[in-house]
Amino acid sequence: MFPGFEALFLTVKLAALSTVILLLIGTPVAWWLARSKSRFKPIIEAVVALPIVLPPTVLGFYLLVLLSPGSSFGGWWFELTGQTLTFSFSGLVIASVVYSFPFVVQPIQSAFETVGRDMMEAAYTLGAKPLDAFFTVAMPLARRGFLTGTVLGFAHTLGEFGVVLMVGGNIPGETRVVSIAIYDHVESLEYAQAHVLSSILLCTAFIAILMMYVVNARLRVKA
Amino acid sequence: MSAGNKTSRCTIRLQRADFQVEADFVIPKKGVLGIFGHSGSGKTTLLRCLAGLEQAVQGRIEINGETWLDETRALSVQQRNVGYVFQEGRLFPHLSVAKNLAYGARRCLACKDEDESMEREHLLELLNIAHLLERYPFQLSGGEKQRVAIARALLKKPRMLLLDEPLASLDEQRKQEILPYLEKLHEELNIPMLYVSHNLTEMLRLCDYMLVMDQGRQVFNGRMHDALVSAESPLARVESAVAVLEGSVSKQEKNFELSTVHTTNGNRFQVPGLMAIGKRVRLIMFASDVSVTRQRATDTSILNIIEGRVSAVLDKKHGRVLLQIDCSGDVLLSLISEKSFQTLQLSPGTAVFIQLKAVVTRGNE
Repeated sequence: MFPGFEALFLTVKLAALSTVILLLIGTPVAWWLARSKSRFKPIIEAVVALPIVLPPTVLGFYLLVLLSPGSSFGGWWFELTGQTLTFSFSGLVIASVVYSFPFVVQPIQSAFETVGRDMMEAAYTLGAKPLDAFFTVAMPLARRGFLTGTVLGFAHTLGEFGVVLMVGGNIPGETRVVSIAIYDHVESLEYAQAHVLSSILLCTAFIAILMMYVVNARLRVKA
Repeated sequence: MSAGNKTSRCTIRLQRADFQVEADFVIPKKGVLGIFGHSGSGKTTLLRCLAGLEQAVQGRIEINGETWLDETRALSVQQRNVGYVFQEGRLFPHLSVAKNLAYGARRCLACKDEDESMEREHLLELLNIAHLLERYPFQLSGGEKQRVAIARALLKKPRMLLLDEPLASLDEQRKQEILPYLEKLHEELNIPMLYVSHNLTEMLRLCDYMLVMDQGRQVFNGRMHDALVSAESPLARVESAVAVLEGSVSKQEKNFELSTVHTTNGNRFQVPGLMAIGKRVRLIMFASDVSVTRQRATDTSILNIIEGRVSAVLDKKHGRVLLQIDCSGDVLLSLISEKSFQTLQLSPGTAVFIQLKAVVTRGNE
């Protein structure tokens, strides 16, 4: 079997799982941010945006501290599952969700902002309860934001390096994702293998972003 | 007593940082209640309070014996089950016309499938939108959008239909196109309609009752006719002087293309156009088209000369005087010059003849 396959499979699994979790958590947060007039809103927005500007090593360091069995969260997880979060796949998923959070939340938030209160009010007057109106009006109208958020969340997790290195290390089949495998290959001067993996990542990222732009144009809701 | 006989009364108070809205009015069982006022007078906010779209509304709303709002509770928008037509239509842009129409109908608890499809067909025909079902909102004209929005609101079988300036975003031609549909609805609907507008002409054609708002406060509530001619009404002024009368067609003169309309008080008006005998019509008479004489004029081209009595002097402004004239129970307005007013020595009680130059009948082409 092709030697990089394990790392590739792990990377895609990590990115896919993280994206699903990101959509589940990010959607309500984006909705709240789009609608809220709370004075705490700017603080939450800043926290959400932090991973964009923070060096991955800093983020990774804090995550390492948080996830280690010595901390309260890591300890609680260890009690619950009998496994440590650091240097494990589960820990990587949590780290990826934090790391890619703004890339999912921000496009969905701005899409929700353009939907506005008006259409929701129209849905309410037609008998739709809030959750019903959310799924039948707000989400379809914000579909381009969801597409952008999904692709960016997936692609961003795909290329994650620093945070993974900090919290996950380099365990084959468990935490050794493509970006780390490439780093190892380069370190050992195995340029051929580095080329193969890098080109696969490059193509995947390009195709994902290209598809996003193509589909985005088609999803435009004409008003 | 059945719930259907109970009255619908609303006492609404809304206090916001920069404005307030206050009103206390009765919603008729059937027919159109017009909410009239200048922009910023609070009429749209009042409608939103009634629909449940505003938070922190105080007061009491009783609709057909059901409490929508009191000190202890407030029903949600969904529970109130009103049909709401917004100024901009607010059709869902991601759904076809057919799916927009189905949106409310599918969530309607009172709807049964069989009788509903019949009504649906009828409504689509009435509003002339059956040919638009496959289209999307962006492919519709402004008038078509509003007709779809009205149908969408009605297909959920609301307990009342609320229209918030549905014609305001349309140009004059499109307005004239939609008004006949609203008039047809007025004749057919069994639920009350509340119609918000700042356009008195639309009100004259559609409304049976009026609620006049000014700076967030209700300044008049009553029958359409009273809102126009009674001394207490802010509309009985030089600027907006017009009266309406209801009557039924009693005679046709085919060679002159004239119809005669009889009011219940026994007055007869000859109006242009041939209308079916027995048909109920509304006569709209602008006070500037009504002149007065002390003696009955003989050699005149004016067809409608009716005996009456000056019952009040309502307003004097810019050299013009607005008279309220009682013609054996039918109350009309006449706008004359201050000079004529003095020359003719008019005062409350003076017997006069009114000459009616033009009468507009409502939507009976």
